[in-house]
Parts: sequence; structure tokens; C-alpha cells
Amino acid sequence: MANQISVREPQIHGNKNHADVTQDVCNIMDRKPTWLWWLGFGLALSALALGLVSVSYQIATGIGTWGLNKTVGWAFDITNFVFWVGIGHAGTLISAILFLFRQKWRTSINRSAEAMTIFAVICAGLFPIIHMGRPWLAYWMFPYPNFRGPLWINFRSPLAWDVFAIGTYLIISATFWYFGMIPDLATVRDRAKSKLKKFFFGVLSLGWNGSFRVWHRYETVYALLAGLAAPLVVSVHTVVSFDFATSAIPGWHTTTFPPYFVAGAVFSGFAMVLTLMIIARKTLQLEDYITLNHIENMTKVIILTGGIVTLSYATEFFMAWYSGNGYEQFVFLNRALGPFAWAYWIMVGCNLITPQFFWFRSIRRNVVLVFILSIFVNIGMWFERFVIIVTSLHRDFLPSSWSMYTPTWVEIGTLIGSFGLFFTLFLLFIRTMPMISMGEVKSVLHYRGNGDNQNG
Amino acid sequence: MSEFKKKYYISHEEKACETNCTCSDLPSVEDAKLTAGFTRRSFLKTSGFSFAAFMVACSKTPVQKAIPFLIQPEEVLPGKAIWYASTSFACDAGCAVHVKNRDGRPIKLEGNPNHPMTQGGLCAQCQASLIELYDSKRILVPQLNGNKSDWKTVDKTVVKHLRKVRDAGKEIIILTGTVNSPSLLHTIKKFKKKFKTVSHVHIDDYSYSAILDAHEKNYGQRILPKYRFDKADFIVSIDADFLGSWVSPIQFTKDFQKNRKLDSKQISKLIQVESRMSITGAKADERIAMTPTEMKSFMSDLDAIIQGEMGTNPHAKKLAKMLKHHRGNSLVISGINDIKIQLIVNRINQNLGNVGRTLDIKKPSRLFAGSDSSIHSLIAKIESGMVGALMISGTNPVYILPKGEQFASSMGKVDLCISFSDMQNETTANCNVIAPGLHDLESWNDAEQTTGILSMTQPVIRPFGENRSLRQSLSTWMGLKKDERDLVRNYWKKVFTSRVKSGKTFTRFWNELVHDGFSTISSKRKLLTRFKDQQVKIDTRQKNELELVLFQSSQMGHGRHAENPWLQELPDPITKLTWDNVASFSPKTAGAYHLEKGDLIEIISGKIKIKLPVFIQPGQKNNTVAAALGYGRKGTERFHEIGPNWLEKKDTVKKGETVGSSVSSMILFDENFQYGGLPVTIEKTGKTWDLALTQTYNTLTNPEKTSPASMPVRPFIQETTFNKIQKNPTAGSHHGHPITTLWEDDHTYEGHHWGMAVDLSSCTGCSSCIVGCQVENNVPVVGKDEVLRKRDMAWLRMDRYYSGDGENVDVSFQAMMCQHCDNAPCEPVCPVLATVHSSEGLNQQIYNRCVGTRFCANNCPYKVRRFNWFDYAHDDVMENMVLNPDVTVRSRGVMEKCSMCVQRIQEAKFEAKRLRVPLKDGDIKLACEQSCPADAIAFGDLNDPESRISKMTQSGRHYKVLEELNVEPTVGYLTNVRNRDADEGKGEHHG
Amino acid sequence: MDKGLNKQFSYMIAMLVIIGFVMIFKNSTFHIPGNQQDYAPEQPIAFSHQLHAGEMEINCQYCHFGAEDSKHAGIPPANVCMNCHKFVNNTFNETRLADQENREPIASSEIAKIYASLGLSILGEKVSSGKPTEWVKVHNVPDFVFFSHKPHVNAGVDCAKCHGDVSTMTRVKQVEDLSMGWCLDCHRQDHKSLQNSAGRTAQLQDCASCHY
Repeated sequence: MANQISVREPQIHGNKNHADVTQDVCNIMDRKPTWLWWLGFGLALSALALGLVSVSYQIATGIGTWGLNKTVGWAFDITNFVFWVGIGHAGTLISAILFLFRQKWRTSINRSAEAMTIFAVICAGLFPIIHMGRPWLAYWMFPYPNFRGPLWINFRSPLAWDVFAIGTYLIISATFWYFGMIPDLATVRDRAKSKLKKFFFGVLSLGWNGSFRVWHRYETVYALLAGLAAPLVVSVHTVVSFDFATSAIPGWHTTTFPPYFVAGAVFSGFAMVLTLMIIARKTLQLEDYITLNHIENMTKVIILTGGIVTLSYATEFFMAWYSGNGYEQFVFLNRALGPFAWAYWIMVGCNLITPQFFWFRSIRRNVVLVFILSIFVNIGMWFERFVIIVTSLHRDFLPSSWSMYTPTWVEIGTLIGSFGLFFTLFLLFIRTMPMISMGEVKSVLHYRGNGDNQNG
Repeated sequence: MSEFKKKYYISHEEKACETNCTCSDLPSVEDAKLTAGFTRRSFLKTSGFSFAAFMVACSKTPVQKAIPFLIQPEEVLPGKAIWYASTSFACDAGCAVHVKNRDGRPIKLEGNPNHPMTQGGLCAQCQASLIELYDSKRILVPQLNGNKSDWKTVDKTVVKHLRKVRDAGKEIIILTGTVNSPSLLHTIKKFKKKFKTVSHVHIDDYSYSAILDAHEKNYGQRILPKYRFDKADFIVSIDADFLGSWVSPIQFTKDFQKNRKLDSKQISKLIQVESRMSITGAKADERIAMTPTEMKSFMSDLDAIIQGEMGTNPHAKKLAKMLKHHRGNSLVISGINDIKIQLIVNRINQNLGNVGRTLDIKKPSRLFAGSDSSIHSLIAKIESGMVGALMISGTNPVYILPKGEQFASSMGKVDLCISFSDMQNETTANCNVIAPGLHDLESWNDAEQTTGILSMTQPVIRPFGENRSLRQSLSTWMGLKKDERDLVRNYWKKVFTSRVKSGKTFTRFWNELVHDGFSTISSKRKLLTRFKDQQVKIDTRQKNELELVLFQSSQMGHGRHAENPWLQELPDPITKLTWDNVASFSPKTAGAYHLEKGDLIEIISGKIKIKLPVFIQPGQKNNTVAAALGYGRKGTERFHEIGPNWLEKKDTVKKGETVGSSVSSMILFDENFQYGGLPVTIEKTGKTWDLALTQTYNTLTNPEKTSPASMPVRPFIQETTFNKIQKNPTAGSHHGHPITTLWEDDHTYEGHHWGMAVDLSSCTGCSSCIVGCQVENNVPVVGKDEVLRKRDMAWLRMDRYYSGDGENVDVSFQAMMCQHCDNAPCEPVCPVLATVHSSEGLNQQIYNRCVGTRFCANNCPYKVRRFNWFDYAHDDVMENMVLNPDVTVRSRGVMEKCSMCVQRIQEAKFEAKRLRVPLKDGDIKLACEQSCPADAIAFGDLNDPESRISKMTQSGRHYKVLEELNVEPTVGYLTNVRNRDADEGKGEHHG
Repeated sequence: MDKGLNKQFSYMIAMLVIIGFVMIFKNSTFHIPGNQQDYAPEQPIAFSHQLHAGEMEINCQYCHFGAEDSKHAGIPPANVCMNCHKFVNNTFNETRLADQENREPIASSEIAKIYASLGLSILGEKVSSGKPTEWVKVHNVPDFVFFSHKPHVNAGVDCAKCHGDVSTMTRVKQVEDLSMGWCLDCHRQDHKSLQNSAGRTAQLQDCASCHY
């Protein structure tokens, strides 16, 4: 061992052995929640409460309680929707695609990333429903046999595609997440003291017994599921982008949207994972598992996707100019110089400038900076959707109906509420489920990345 | 609830009625009050959207009662509309109408196409007057000293008083708006005989006295000539908004259009001289902006030059030349109520030989008889206490007179003041007796608006209350008891032989009269003296810093309809402003005084101060400030509640405040009522005011900061000049590159293919189509705050664009409604198929399927879709009776838009099927099309090559808005043609 | 160890099974909201279509005369009833029976109600002001559906097609479910009488032919 030269630092620090891993991860669930957790949970809950109040008031009174008007029919609602769907992307990317690419470093973050995905998609899924004028009829969005002739849904409508895209995504990623968790659930079950806990995790772990055969089957199915989930990463946001791409409104009617949106989604998704992981590793003392390497890797992804996003912005302007279409050109001039220019420049600032910092290793490995920058990316990406939706609508073809948009407190409350829901779910998750995939982490213990894997 | 549930019938159709179909089971005012609390529930009931039934259905079957007639009158069939000819006097001129009566309720007024005056046109005011019938705030029982009473006691006290007054030798004065009803004049004559000391004074809301007085001086008869815009080839109008508000706008619009047929060799040319921007100014071929004082000197110059003397004014020179050129078929009119000016006008027309050709003084109009001098003397009399009784009908002197308060207080000197108004107003407040009159739709009436043409008004519903017409009240007090019908009928029976030269029997004549709504009658010729010239001296020296211009807006008039929500929310054709009146300045003047839109300023003249918000009006004359009359009426405080109620709601008016503020006190009342030229000063208050505009970006020119080089101006208004169109019929209409598409046409219209076209060069922007649409399609009123938030619900909007700058501005109107695109962008995006294409080319919106994603509205390039942001109020049971039972009242959260009056299309089809005949072109008239006084809107079957619409679509002037998007709208527009020399084309859109 | 696991596992299976059963054997008499099929309310007057339309073979539109020219077929006003019942005021066959048993025929209590509604005594003299009968509406469509009898009657659609064979009903019952699907069953067929110039009946399936 003395003559052992380490080429790279290990995936997991602090010379953990299997027992330690189990110990460290399960501890998070076993020990009493820290005051920090309570604080976070309190904040999240109150945000959620605000959201509930806003939404129920809106549903009871009418969409009129939002700042929308006859010209701007969507604003915060769909902005939030696209934003959350975007957030949801990192999870599957990390767990499925990186798995297929055998990226070992994913192991310690994939579990929580997937959880994040699911919660984000739940948040996203709410908005298409509450943005309806008559949400109690939301079930009409599904094709089901009926006595109306029968009357089906409009399969040409991007909104109908959304229903399926989001639905599929939620189901697959939930399955994938749960399935990946089974071995760990079994571990928790075996360690559980209270009867209730034993029963609960017993049911969840589907009678896992850790035998070779079970492990073998498990690995196969996991790989298969990963293969199944991978294309969704691309498909979902592509479909979401169709909501705009298939429309007739200048600024929406853009063929570059699918790649543009997917890149943006991964961009924002990774930013969110960073935000969460950095908090988690600090508050839950997981520095050994979520190392600077992980953070650095993720920032690299951000540089790449950020680059694509930048390119997309440029392309839009180029296409507007190149098309020679006056309305198209107007919309983009109006974005940069019109009444909503401030939003546009926030977007540019956050999404174009921020990633550039990550070219510097020092910054990539500076947790505090990365944290702040990741937040900026999140803000920027939210504004990207806002800019696309609102500035395209508020001044479209006929000047007679041009108008402005200002949000009401109800909309702001709803936005905050969605964050509340997201964090509430996530905080509950880290208390009740193994937030790091023990099984997989164990497999990369002492793994030094250069292939020679020796157990010490 | 239960008892009014029984009474309330709108939801189940067969309803109980007495033998004559005027419903006994209409909810009484009490019910309306009673329901005030039960907003939600009463909404469900009235909306016709029987959700309630729906919900109950889950558990048990809802019981719906069906109550047949006891004895069914022959012509009445539940669920089938009956039409009655009548005349509405909601506007000063009065419009001949057909009243649609459904299950005993009048639900729509439409122009009577056969009537020689309005010729099927209908003004916004008359359209909207319908809802005033169902106004729950009407006075329905007589009042004595402010308390409810009954006719018996009222009649007794009144008669006692009148006798006392007569015996005391004091005067009894009947103060009315102009009465042109022969039968009523007869009654008043008899009344005079009975109570000796009676005198009858006419007072018009807006005075035309000067014109009549001038004619008295010139021709020896106090008459208002009949102007023949259909005969005039060259029209010079000095501050007379004859297409919008002057004398008889609907009739004039119809006539004016007759001489604007673009296929003919030449069309008339309209020159408008004005200070503010009026509808007529917007339509004018040439518009000259002048201050009121400049106008006076201009007039005297014009007159001088025409007489061959010297004149300095360049405009005058130019126009005089043209006028001389058009001797005999030119027309000079002036809206300036100043006898001097009117004498000049008369002289000009006389010298040009227009009298008897373009203006008829032999068979004059009888619309206005008010005399300013007699009002002077009236006020004097009242002041001096010579008046013992004052009867006020059809006017509101306390509001319209400049010194209203003074008049009110002097009314105190009269021991008996009787008002015949059925609404509380400034005047009734000072009357000790209120003998409420009838709404036009409840009353028998006749009118001779123009000499020789008799218009008839018949009741289409039994009076809601115990109201009586002035005619009946007077005759009751004379001691002859007759019902309304007989009072009118008997008069005509009496004069039948003398006035009606025809072989018909009286009964025949009467029945035809009531059936057609009008009849021609003979009248004894006025003996006019030869033209006696009058010398007038106009001092042209005076110069003012800032001059005030007061005007009547086409929708609000002089405030008679201030409590009409439809008119209050109808955007002003020019300013696009709702729920307010403003002080408008030209951009330059506003700059000079450092005024911003919405600044609250005080207009000061002597001791009088008026608070008004600032509005910047392109095209207005510099150094003038214009303000609309008719606002600030008492009673408009009621609109405090209007509009959906939620946390961030801003009230339409603050508690106890009125809509806008009255400027009557600024009317200069010397020998005439002077509406323009009052020198004023202004002061900033530092406060600001929200102005609810339905259109906030006013030109087709892009804001220069974000204007792309390839498209500085958007080509939605396409216009040209008459000379160009003569040379090339397609002049001015630009078409995009032909679009090649990969897809074969998925709509093959084998049957009908409905289409619509709007002729921009006919359209005057008068906006009566908007009200027509609103009434027909149950479009809700949403209140100022919602309009501010850009959530007005009107399906049909009148886009207004300025071009040019300074005082030299062109205004173009464009009626914009759902374009019913063949490749509608809204259709593919709806996830639940709530908006789909019909086999006849309609873009259908299915309210009950809509879940309200608003994607369709976002994706609509024309932004003509309207969303129900809230449950709009339907809790006034009285008001709900105006709802059209054939059109769903939309609930909250659904999208709506122009349906091309699909209910009318269906109805026409059903009728054709019943008669076993094919649909003819013109069988279907849409609500907007019907009421258009300019016949600018055409609807029909594009598959029928002979139809009017097909012909218009073939026309070289036809173009489609945003045709380059390949949405293929079935609504098209015809280029706006102005009769001006190309070089004058100042602000022509993208020349 | 394994035993324990399997036990817990089987718990879960059991639960799933139970839930499954609940799903399958759920209340089978479930009734789609708004569907009023078989609705046969009691009417204020026990009027028998079986007698009038059936035995007497009175044409539907003799009483429901609105059908041809109006949205509503209409319920006959009392004056239409009196066209016959002015003379007939006792139950079916009563007169004959009375003759056989040579006694005074007994006036029908139901017919008496018509008289009463007009404010008449059974012998026909005016006693009160009278008030119309409040019938219970049997066939209801939601208010967002525009249904008019006019085009259907004029297209020669048989009344029974929608209302069932009322001539056999003593009390009227809603036979069809009046669902949109049911309407479309007809509207989808090509009707000679409804064809437009090109012989299509597509407009019958336009949403706006019923919803506006």
C-alpha cells in the first residue's frame, strides 16, 4: 500500500468502509432532525401555505385574480410550469444517461437528483391544472370513453401532448427512482428498530433479500429502466417547447426551440442540483460523499449547456434578422429594448455571464461561489421563460391590442408556494429515505477513477 | 327566494301569462332588491347556464316546471320572436326601430329599413336605451314631496294647485324638450285652453337655437332646414359633427353615404373645420383645425370672398373657390350656436344657390324647437316669482343649464314643480311632485320629426309600474279619462281628413301606421318670406391664450343616458375612453403646459373651477382644451358597485362620486348657449387619474426604438384617394406574396361559406355596431377597473389609428372582430376541441366544452378572443330580462368571441326549412351589420357568386389583415378611400 | 429472516387484491350525472297520452302546435283542452255505462282540474279567476344545448323518435337518455330532407348547430 501512487483522488473521501457508509447515510434518517432542518422545513411549509391560500383564492374567485389580460393570456403560470419541468431534467440525466455512460461519480448524487426530479415534475404538473379557467374539468384533457358522441381530445394540441409527456416522465422517473432505492430500503428495514418502521420498509422493499440472484436481476432491470428513461430527458422538454414552437406568435414560432429548451432545462436542472447538494452536504455533513469533484463535474455540465443556451439566444436574433420578417424582427428588438427589456437583460446576465465564471478551476472548487452562481442560473432560467412568454405576447401583431403585464400578489404567492411544495417534499425525503444510494456508493468505495480498484 | 323563484321564468321557457302577452309574472322591483344578497344563486338562475340543475342531477332529477298560457293569444308562440315597428327617442333625433319581442320581453332594437329618415340605421344611444327599460332604479309609482304616493292623491293635489295658480293669475309653465308629437302638442293646446295661464317652453339638451333664429331673421320662419347630404357634392362643415352628434347623425350618415358610391364618376367631398377631433373630422376628406375664434374670422372671410370682396384667410380663399365651383350643389353648415355665424351661413348658402337644393326649408326638420331667448325669459319669470307651477318633462334643466344650481334654487320660488321623469335626476330632486313617465317601449306616441313624415311608437310590453305618459297625465288633470292608445288614436281620427290625403279608411291608415311604424302625411306649407339679408359684424380682434371647446360625445349626448352601463363602457370612437370625460389638449399645447396624460387639472373660468384628467389628443387645435358634456350626472354613483369584486378591485367610481365631471357650468350663456370659445386658464392639482382606455397604442407606426427597418409601419389600414382608385381599382390595397402550402385544403365548403367584409371608406367609426353586438350576444359590462386591466369583453372592437402629426392628423377606423380564419391558429391548439371549424366556415367557440387554457387567445394574431376572468354580475333580475335567450350566458373561466351571430344563421335556416325555400342573400343580417348606419359591414355566403359579400370580395379594394400569415381570414376589408388630391395625402398609412 | 420478508410481502399482495375487488364490484347502479332516462314524474293532472294520442288518435301537433314554428313544442293552453272538454267532462266510457245503469254520469275529477284552472266549475260557470296548471317538464336538455323543435319537425323527424311511443304511455316517461351521443346517432346519418346543395349533412355535426 505504501508504494501505491494515487493518480486521482477517490470518489469518496475519508477512507470509508461499507459499514461506515450505511452508518453515515442511515444516520441522517435515524437521528433527531437538527434545528437547521426544522428551520428549513418551517420556511418551506409556510411558503407552501401561502401557495395554498393563493391558489384556493384564485380557483374560488377566477383567473381574474392574476394580472393577465386579453392580450397576455399566460405569464407566471406557464413560466413556472416550464421552469419546473426544466428543473426536473437533471435527475434523469444524472441517473439514467450518466449511468449508461458509466459515470461513477454520479452514485452519490443520483438518488437525491432523481427525488428532486420527481418533486419538480409534481410542481410543474400543478400549473397546467390551476392555470385553467375551470380546473374542475381538468379531466377533459384525458381521452376517455364518454357519452358525448363520443367526444375525444384534440390530439393536434401541444397541450394534449404535454399531458402525455409529463405523465410519462413522472411515471418512469418515479419507477426508476423507487426501483433504484429497493436495496437501500431493505438495508433500512434490516436496521429498523420500531415495528412500524420495519413493516413500512418491509412492504416497500418488496421482500428484497440481497441474494446474488436478486442482485443480478436487479442490475439487469435497472439498466433496462435507465435505457427507457434516457430518451425522456430529450423528449419531455422538446414536447414542452412545442407549446410555443407550433404557435403563430412571433417569438414563439421558432424551430430551434426543442434543442434550445432541452439545453436550458439541463442547464437549470444542474444548477438546482448544485443548490440542493451544496446545502445538503453542509447541513448533513456529507462532504465525504458529495466531494468537490462532484460539484466541479456538475459545473462543467453547466458550462456546456450554458454555452448552448447562449448560442440559442444568438440564433434567435440571427434568424429574426435573416428571415426579413418585420414582425419577427420587431419582437426581438422589443425584447431587448422594449418595456420588458429589464427582464431580458436579467436573463442575459444570469444565463450568459454566470457560466463563464466556471472556466476557472478556483471558482469551480469554491463551494460558496458555486452556490451563489447556481442560484443566479436558476433566476436567469426562470426569467428566460418569462421573457419568451410575456414579451412575445404583449406586443404581437395588431398595435391596437398591445398591452402591459404586471403580476398580482396571487401569482407571486403561487410561485413562492411552488417552491414551498418543492422544498417541503425534498426535506421530508431526506428525513425518511436514504438520500444517498448506499448500494452504489459502496461499489465505488476506494475507487480511484483510473481503473485499478483495490479494497483496503 | 322561493316566492321569486316562482315568479322568475327566464330559465323555463313556457311561462304563465295573462291573455294579452304582457307578463304579469315579471319580477317586481322588490324581487330585484330581494335578490341583491343572493348574487351567486340568482346568477345560476338567470344565467341560463343551469349549473344548479346539473349538480342536483347527480343525486336526483331536478324538477323543472312548465307553465302554459291559460288562454294563448293567436300571434304569440312561446320561444318565437315577434317584431314590432316603433320609434325610439333615446337620441335627440329619434330612430325608427323594429323591436324584437321574445316571450313578452323586448330584447333587441333594430333599425327600421323602410323608414325614410334613419333608413335602417340605429344609433348607439337608441340601441342601448333598451336596458333602461329594465332599470331597477326606475321610479314606478308617483311621488308626492319625496314620498311614494298614488295617482289618486297626486292628481287631486295637482289639480287643486293648478286651479289655485290659475285663479291667482300666476303662470303655469310646461318646460319640455322639443315636442314634435302632434297629438301631444294638441293635448298641450287643450291644456292651455283649460288652464288659461299656461305657456309651453321648449328647451333642447344641446341648443340649435341660433340656426332657427337666423332663419327667422332671413326667411321669417323659425325653422331648422332639412340638410340633404345625399345631394351635396361639396360639403363645408364648420364645427358641425353631423356624422357623430349634430342634429340627426344616423340620417345624415345614411344620406352622406349615398353620395360616396365609389363606383360612380364622382363622390362628394367633405371639408371639416373644427377645433377638437370629431368623428366627422376623422371621416373628412380634408380637415382644417381652428380655434373657435379663428372660425369666426374664417367665416366672415369666406362669406366676404364668396361675395367677391377681400378676404385674407388662406383656407377661406381656397374653400370659397371650390364652393363657387360647386354652386347649387355645395353645402355649408355650422354647429356654432351663434346667430351671427348662422346668419353668415345662411347668406353663403343663399348666395351659392344651395337653398332648395342641398338644404330644404320648405319641408323643414322639426327635431329642435328650443329657443335660447325664451329660456332667458323663463328664468327671469321664475326669479320674479310670476310662475305658480312648473312642469318639467323630457329635460333636466338643473343639469344642462350653465347656472343649474341657481335654477334649482329659484325652482324653490315655484310652489308646484312637477317632474315627469322616471329616473331620479338633478331636477326631480327639486320637484315636489314626480309623475313618472313611460319608457318608449311602454308607450303610445307619435312624432313628426320631419315635416310630412309621421313616426309611430307603440308599446311592446305592459308598463312595469303605474307610470303614465305626459300626454295622459295632462289630460287626466284636464279631467278626461282616456287610455294611452286612445289619446293618440283619437287625435289622428280627428285630423285624419285634414292631414292624411288618401283614399284609405282611418282604421286601415291606423293599422298600417302601427304596422309600418311610419306614414307620410300632408302638412300646410310654411309661408316663407324672400331671403332678407342681415348685416352682421364680427369682431375678429380678440385673441385668447387657451379656449375651451365643449361637445356632445356620440354615445353620451348631454348626459341623458349617464346611468346606462352599456353606453358608459362603450369606448368613445376617437379617444377610446370609457367611464370618464377628459380635458383633451393637442400634444404641443400639453407640452407647453407640461401636462401628461392622466394629470388631474383644474379648468378655471372666473369663479368656476372644474377638475378633469388630462388627455392628449392628436389632431386637436393647439391652444384649445376640449371636454365632453354629459358626464358628472347625479345617479352615476350607482356604478360604485359595478364590476367583479375581488381583493385588488378598484372601484369604477369612489363611493358617492359621479362618473366624470359636469362641464355644463362652462357653457357660455349670453344671447345664445355658446359651447366653444370660452377663454379659460388651467392649474395642475398634482394628482393623477386612471383613464380606462381600450386602446393604448394609437398608431400603426412601430415605436422608433424597436422599429425594424423592414417594417416601419404595419399595413393593416390600407388607404388611397378617389382619383387613384378611378385610375386603378386596386390602388392602395397591398397583397402579400402568394403563399404556397404543402397541405391540401382540409375545409371544402359544399354548403354555405359564410364571410364578412368591412368597407373602411364607408365606416365612420360611430361604434353603434359595438352596442348592437353587445345586446345581441349577452356581452357583460365589466366596469372601469377591468377595462383598465385590458379585460373589456366587447366581441367587436373599433380599432382607431392616427397617422400624421401635430394638428394635421388622419384617423382611420377598423372594426375588428373574430376573422373566422379558414386556417384558424386557435383551433389546433385547444386541447379539448372547444374551438373548431364548422362545415360552413365559421370558427365556433363551444363554451360548455371550454376548460379555459387561453392558448387559443394567445395564438390569435388578431387578439379578438375574450376570456371570462370572473363570474360577471347577473344578479339583477330586472336587468337579466334583457338577456337574449338564444345565446348562452358564459360562465367564469371560458373563452368567448364573435360567433358571427350563429344563432341568427340557425334561425334563418330553420325558417327557410319551414317555408321549404333556399336561403337568399340578405336573409341573415348580423347584429353589427344591421345597426350600421353606413352599411359598411356586409355578411353573406361566399359560395353564392351573386351575394353582396362575394361582390365585395371580388372588388379590387378588398384585402385581408395579416394575409401573409396564411390563416386565411374570411373577414376582409375594403381600402379606405379619401376624396383628396394625392399630394394632400399627408399621413397616409405607408404611402 | 426470509420468512418474515415473505410475510410482509404477502401482506402487500393481499392489500392489492382487496383494493382490486373493491374496484371491480363497485356500485353497479351508478348513474351518469345529467342522464334522466326513465324519468316519469307525477303530473298535476293525471293526463293520459295513451288515451288521447293512442285510443283517440289525436295528432300530436293538435295540442303541441308550437312544434312546427317554434323552439318549443309547447304545452297546450287550457283553451285548447276546452275545445273538446267543453263537451266531455266525465271519464272514458262513463256516459255509456251511465246510460246502461240509467244514472247520471259522474264527472271526472281530473277534467274538473282543467275547469278549475280556468276558474270554472265542472258545470262551466265562472267561480274564480283561475290559474294555469304547473306541469312538470319531462324532457330536459342542459341550457347550454340549443334545441329547437322547428327544424326537426319540419325535417319530418317522427315525434316518437325522441319521445318514445307516448301513445302507449299513461304517464309520460323519458325513453331516450338524450345524451349528446344519442343526438349524434341521428345527426351522423344522411337525411334526404336535410341535404344542402351538395347533398351533404355535415353541418348537422357542427358543434355550433346546438351549442351557442
